[in-house]
Amino acid sequence: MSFASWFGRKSGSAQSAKERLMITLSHERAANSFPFLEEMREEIIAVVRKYVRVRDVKIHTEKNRQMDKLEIDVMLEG
Amino acid sequence: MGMILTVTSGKGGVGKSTTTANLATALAKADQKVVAVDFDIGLRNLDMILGLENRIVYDGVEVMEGRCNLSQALIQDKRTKNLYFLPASQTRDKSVLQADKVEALLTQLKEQFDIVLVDSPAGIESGFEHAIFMADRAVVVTTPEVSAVRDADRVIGIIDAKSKRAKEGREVEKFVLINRIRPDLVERGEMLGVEDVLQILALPLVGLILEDERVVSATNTGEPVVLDPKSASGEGYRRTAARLLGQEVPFMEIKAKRGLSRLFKGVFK
Repeated sequence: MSFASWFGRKSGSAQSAKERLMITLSHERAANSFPFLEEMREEIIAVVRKYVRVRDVKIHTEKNRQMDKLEIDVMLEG
Repeated sequence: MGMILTVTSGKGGVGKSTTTANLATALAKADQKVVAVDFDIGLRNLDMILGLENRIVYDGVEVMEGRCNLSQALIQDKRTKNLYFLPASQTRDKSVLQADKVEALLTQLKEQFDIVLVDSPAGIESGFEHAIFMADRAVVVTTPEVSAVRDADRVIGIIDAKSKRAKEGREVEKFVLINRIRPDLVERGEMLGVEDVLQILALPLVGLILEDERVVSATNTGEPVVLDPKSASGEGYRRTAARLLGQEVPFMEIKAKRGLSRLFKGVFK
């Protein structure tokens, strides 16, 4: 019996299972719930291009129980 | 008008058919008129777990195609009053299913039974979609393992997107059943605990089933383990059935048995 388990602390592989699941699922849920991402990305590029020269638009998604997040990075030319 | 309750999981081998057979039996024992429907077209499972494999004459696909009546295909269990079974076709594959025919069949069953328990196939393909389409409620079965929990999460999302209720702006009531828990591993921190799984899946818990050797012998003989009054998993299924009927029942304690031999093992490790 390990020292940590005497105090009811989780020291085993279950903790890493939980952490890995939470991270993986936060990405997968986001991908499932924003099916319009590619279309939106192209439209954003089209709009921004009217004003500045844009190199790329990247959208990061995250979803968990507290919040849904869309992070949009616009990279400009040179 | 009865209720359609789909048992599903995403990942295979986590105990969907065992869960369907046992919940069907326990619900029938609780005076509900129940039909268990095997939706795993092409791969029969449920018939053997229920011990009804020798009584199959017609199957669900033949009913849908109008080649026999529903009453000709339904098998009445002799051990458990109120329990009926509608087998899956073995000679066909899931591509024969058509949404309108599935809907007609399940609607007909809903009119005749209090509870229609649908055993969904593994995976997220067409067979699964047909099995969840008409669901009023869904029990998502998972084991405390990363791959099972991950697939359960995916399946929950698909139920929310593709069920008839979702399309009508209503919700399918979804519950988690955690199967094959090993208290000794959970205590040592080597298996995800109940709280961990619920925190990840964010759904209400309807059942906790401990890992139980008796399930193996029950499946061997075709007598659902819930009929065995001494088995821990049977007790878990009985409590789950009671909760599905709206009763408040405490969950079984997840505690490892501490015998003398185990104590010695601890000392000499």
